[in-house]
Amino acid sequence: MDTALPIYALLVDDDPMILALLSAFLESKGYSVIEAHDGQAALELIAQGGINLVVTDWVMPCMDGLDLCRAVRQQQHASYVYLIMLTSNSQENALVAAMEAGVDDFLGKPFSPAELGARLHAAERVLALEAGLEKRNCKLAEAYSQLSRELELAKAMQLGMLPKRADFGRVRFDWMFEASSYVGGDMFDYFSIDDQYLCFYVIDVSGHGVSAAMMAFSVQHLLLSSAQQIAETIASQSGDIGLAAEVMMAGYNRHFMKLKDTSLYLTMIYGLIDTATGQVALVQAGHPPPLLVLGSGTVTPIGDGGLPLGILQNAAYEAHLVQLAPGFRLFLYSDGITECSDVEGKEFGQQRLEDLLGRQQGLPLADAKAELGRALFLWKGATGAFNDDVTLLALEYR
Amino acid sequence: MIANQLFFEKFNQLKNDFLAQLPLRLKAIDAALQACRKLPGDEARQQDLHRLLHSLGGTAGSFGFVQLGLDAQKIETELAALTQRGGWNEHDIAQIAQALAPLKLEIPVRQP
Repeated sequence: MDTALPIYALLVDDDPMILALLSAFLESKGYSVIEAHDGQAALELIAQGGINLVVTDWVMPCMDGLDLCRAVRQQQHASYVYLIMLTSNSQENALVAAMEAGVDDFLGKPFSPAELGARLHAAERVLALEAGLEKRNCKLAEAYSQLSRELELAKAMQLGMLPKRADFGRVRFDWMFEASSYVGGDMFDYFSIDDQYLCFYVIDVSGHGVSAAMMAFSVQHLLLSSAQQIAETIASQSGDIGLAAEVMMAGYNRHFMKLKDTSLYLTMIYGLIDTATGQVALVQAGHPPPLLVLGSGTVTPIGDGGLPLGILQNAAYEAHLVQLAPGFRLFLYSDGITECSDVEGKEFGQQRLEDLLGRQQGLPLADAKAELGRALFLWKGATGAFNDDVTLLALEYR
Repeated sequence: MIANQLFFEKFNQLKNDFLAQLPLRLKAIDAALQACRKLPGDEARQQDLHRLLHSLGGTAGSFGFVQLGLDAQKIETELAALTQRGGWNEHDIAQIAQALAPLKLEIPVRQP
């Protein structure tokens, strides 16, 4: 036999002479051969599994070859069953009917060993190809399963790196995060620089998936490790947190410009707050504008854009200063909220977000955040996961 | 090569078996025809005759008895056409009997 794939053949004919002849030929090729005298008996043997080649006559009692082929194609098999129909009927409509019944090849009856040999070679090629595909599919399924497990793990790590909800003196932080897939490119954090100043930010790395998440992890590490540098920059700017924020942001941009072999860039809102005075410096780098909600519920977007990080070497960033009074809130968010689509593809939108946050001003911060989450889930409807990471970072000055 | 040789040995043996069986096959065809004659509208009998001729055509040709195979197939095709036309009548059966008669004269000489 000229293929490594073992062939388990079933011969189906009501004529014992034909069965014996076919059997002798197939056995001479090294095939394992069993026989059936009609379609019904053949079908039962095939259902037991293991057979990958069937050579069947057309005209038979009980169940003819055509019905047998139809029934075989309706069965579920672990691997492909190649069907050869023996026929003396060469009329076009008969051949078409047989092909539609699932026949792979025909052998004219009476048959010659040379022609049968050639047909069997073709069958071996198809079966070997099919077995190769099946093996490759198994490997792919295994690889996919492993990748899924690793992505699940990466997601768990990403969630584990998110900050705990916390109060820093008069400043309360809360947040909402929904990943669009296993891992995403959104990240946020807040941390003390010293007793007086806090740093907070939201970033959104372009794209999704592992590369975006790794970039987000790297940004988080960079920003968290820059606390000392921030303190020194504030001091060198004589306590001007606006200037300090601009200097820091330009430095981050230079850092990301140095990253090679990546087409990733990121948008960010970067904030420094003086907890003693309630003064906030916000620098926007291509990110949606933060929303300032006054005690009255009036909502004001802050900032006018700015360039994303990692796009232009010497990009300059401008800080916007905001004075917080008790009860004021700041909301930083990703475009996963404003661009969240409903079942018809309509986006949630900036205005809807502003209206909702303004209306929720009377509620405790955690409740206002939860209301937004509910509104987004309702908006999304039955469309499965969010189409982008959904991030909201809320800050309340008390 | 050995596999081929074994196959051809088996082939020759089966060919001789076929020749030995041939008179019985023709007898069975004859009996099936008589059954059709007795019950002219009986589809099951007609199918029996059809199947026997189909089997003879395929087997004879496959063992190299080309003319016998072709003649059996020709009659088989005619039977199928009659069936498609809407059944066999006595005249049809008489014609079939006439067509079958030469088959008996075609029994090949058995190989040594």
